[in-house]
Amino acid sequence: MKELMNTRLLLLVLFLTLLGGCASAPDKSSDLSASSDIKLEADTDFESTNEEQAENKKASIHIIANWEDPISFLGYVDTHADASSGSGVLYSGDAGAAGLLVQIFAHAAINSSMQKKKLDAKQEAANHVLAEYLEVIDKLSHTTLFEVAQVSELGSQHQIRKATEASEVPEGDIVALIVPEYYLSPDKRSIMLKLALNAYSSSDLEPSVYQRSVKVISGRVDDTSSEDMWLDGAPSYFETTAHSLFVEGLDVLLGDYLSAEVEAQEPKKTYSYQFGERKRYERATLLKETCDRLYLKDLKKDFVVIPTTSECEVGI
Amino acid sequence: MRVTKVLFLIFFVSFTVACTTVSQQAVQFSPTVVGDGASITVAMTEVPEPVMAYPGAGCLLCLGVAASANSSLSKHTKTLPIEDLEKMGAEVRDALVAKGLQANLVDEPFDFKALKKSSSKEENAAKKDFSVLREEFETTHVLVIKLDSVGIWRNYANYVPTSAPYANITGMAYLVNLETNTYEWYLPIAQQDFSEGEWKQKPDYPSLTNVYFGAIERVRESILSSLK
Repeated sequence: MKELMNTRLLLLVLFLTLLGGCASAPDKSSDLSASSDIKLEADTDFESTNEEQAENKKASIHIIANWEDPISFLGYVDTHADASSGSGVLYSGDAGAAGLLVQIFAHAAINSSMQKKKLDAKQEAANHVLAEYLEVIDKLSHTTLFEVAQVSELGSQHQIRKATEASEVPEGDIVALIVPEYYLSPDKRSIMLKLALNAYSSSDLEPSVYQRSVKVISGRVDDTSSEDMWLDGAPSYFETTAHSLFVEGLDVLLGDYLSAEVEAQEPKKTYSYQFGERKRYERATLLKETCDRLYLKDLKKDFVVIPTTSECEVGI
Repeated sequence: MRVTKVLFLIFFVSFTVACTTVSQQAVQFSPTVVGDGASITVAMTEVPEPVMAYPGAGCLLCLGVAASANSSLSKHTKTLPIEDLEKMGAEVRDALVAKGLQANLVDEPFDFKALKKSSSKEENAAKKDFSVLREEFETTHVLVIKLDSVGIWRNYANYVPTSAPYANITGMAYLVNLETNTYEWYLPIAQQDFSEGEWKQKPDYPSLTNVYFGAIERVRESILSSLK
């Protein structure tokens, strides 16, 4: 009985071996093509997945601004020589210590109010430089700035969307609150944009808000015909400059927010640029240099983009 | 009686005149006046350490109140570097050489206190007798950069601050012809710069620190451009 069992087992093994040997060897070429077909299919899938991934990888940024408010555009007040001297006061000693304190506080309040009045008057006077440009300034709005950013290279790198409330931003997307402020230099030859950005991920329960600002200064227009140059074209050069400063500033801030780069430890230097009649200085670290712009990080760790005296060569 | 009045008037006039000091006016630099054969030794006095000052805090108690109110800023001011100011001597020497003039630099900070006072009352006469340096330096001219104060100042009216703090650098730069002991170039330095916007950013005060470096650059540029 045991012998019969062994014979059966041997027969089974022989049968299985035969079966394995009878199976025709596959055509290697067809197999290869088949496998390459599979691979190609896989590649196609991979590419499409990559595209999708890249699309998905694009940061989805929801810009929030005071959409209905007009853009802040002011004349630039130079505060470099604000050495308000104030006035000396002889305090009466008859009123005792409490009386002396009252006199000091009253003196301080008067001085503070006088200084504020002076600053308001200065701002009002500085705004006179805008008189010829009020019409073009009216054309600037948060929405036009957003639209320009959306169609720019910045818009192709990220998914930039408009939002009115942080609560409407889908989870995982970025909330970016922006406040742009423009200034025209006293000599009307340059525009400065100060752009503040508060950004955070909407998925964070307790968001750590990125708070940075950038100061972007345009190149200088010709001294003799600044008004003609600014108002030239449709849209005017004034508007296109304001647009490009906004895109440049937003690009710098979003680039910094989205990158995890370790802070550069370059030695700090003092850089200068002309804004109005007076040269201005920034103690900063150089981050990047192009043919006509310097990208700096100042002592507050905010950004400054300044024009250089050189011009870019025009491509053939 | 009349004689007494006249004598009193003379005494009063001479007394008040003696109290006034005539400040040296700026003298423009002219390579023609200096001459082709001139050799210039550039000397810089020791750059003072940056400190905080409270002009207008006119009593001891006022000064104490001001110092106490600005203690953090005062501490920060003492950490501000002065290297950029110390380099100015070398930069001025290089600028003079670039103009084709013969110039060299005294490496160590130079102390002019040992020089005697000049008695000359002529226009642009140097206040000290620099002529003794002619042999010491074997030179025809000496160019001096002397900084009197460096740091952050804040104006006060007794106990009350009347201004925001500002960067302040004062001093003078001048060129003395050692043969005539007269200034052939004189540039008063009084650089005061306020920060843009908020300055109360403890502990590093970046806005004020920025204007401090800006003030240094302005001083540097005013000296170099004045020598053009």
